[in-house]
Amino acid sequence: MNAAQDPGSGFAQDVEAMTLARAQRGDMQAFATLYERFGRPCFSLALRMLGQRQHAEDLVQEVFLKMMDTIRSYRGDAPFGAWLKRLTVNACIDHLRRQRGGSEDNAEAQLAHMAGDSGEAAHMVDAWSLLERLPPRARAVLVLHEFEGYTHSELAALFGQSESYSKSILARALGRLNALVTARPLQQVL
Amino acid sequence: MSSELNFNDLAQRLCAAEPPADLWLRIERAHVGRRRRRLRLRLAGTAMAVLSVVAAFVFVPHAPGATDWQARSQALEIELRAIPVGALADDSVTREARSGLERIDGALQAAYDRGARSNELVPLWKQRSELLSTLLAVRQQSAAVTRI
Repeated sequence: MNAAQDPGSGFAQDVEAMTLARAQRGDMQAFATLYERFGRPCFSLALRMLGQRQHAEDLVQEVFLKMMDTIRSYRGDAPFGAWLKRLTVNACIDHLRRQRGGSEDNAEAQLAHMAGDSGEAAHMVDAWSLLERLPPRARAVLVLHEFEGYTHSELAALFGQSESYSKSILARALGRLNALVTARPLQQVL
Repeated sequence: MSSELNFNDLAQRLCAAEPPADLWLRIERAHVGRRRRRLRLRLAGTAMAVLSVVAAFVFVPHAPGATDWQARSQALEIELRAIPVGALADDSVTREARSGLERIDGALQAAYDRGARSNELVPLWKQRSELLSTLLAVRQQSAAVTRI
């Protein structure tokens, strides 16, 4: 799925120039308007990538506070929604890096370890639990590639890894999800 | 029923996620709190800068290497009083120096009365010292002539 074909992500909305100008002057009402428009897509993206509501809430707060601090530097080169989406994705990746601590990313090892326990699919009850079954970085790669339309080259730059790393993680994550839904028909899983 | 993973379906369901109703209030509160903290920090920074400038004005005359013209003026005055008034005590140079001293003493008094800063006081004390040096030189010369 491509982000350009997916207006449902909610970031592809026009914002009135007046609202942006007021926000750039620090007007709280304008910030509230921007939150009304973009709070939900920002939260959805954060939740998809991070997998936990509490983390997603904290991240939305972090992103909007950062937006309020930096909106003066927004020059309108890209649509506001795209700019905010980039802030959100970058904040999610920073969050995943902090979670990972100093250790080397082990998404591949975690995926390999999970390969044998697809029988647990019987316990899956909704879409969230499918994504939650993936390691954090694998989930982030899958969400950005499949739902948000990021290319492997963009993912490699975001994660500071090679394209083959991104491709490998995605292939394993997709394999893992397919194994889960094969154990139980998709309609029952979802 | 297909058991293939359907991302469109999955994405539709994941899109339904709603943030908690009070999230904007939390963000707004955090933003206001941060703004207040920054304002307090800015005020503290300004106060520190003002204190630094005041301290600089207060301490510059006493800084190592800088001349304390007030102390020098007082020392010259003591030295001058110790020399007896000689024959040349009423020459034009002396009269001019005395008149200058009276003018500077008046300016110093006025400056202290209005609480002037050291950047205004120091030049006056310097001029006073220079005039006292002139008077001292004349009086030393006069004392030497008297001895002869």
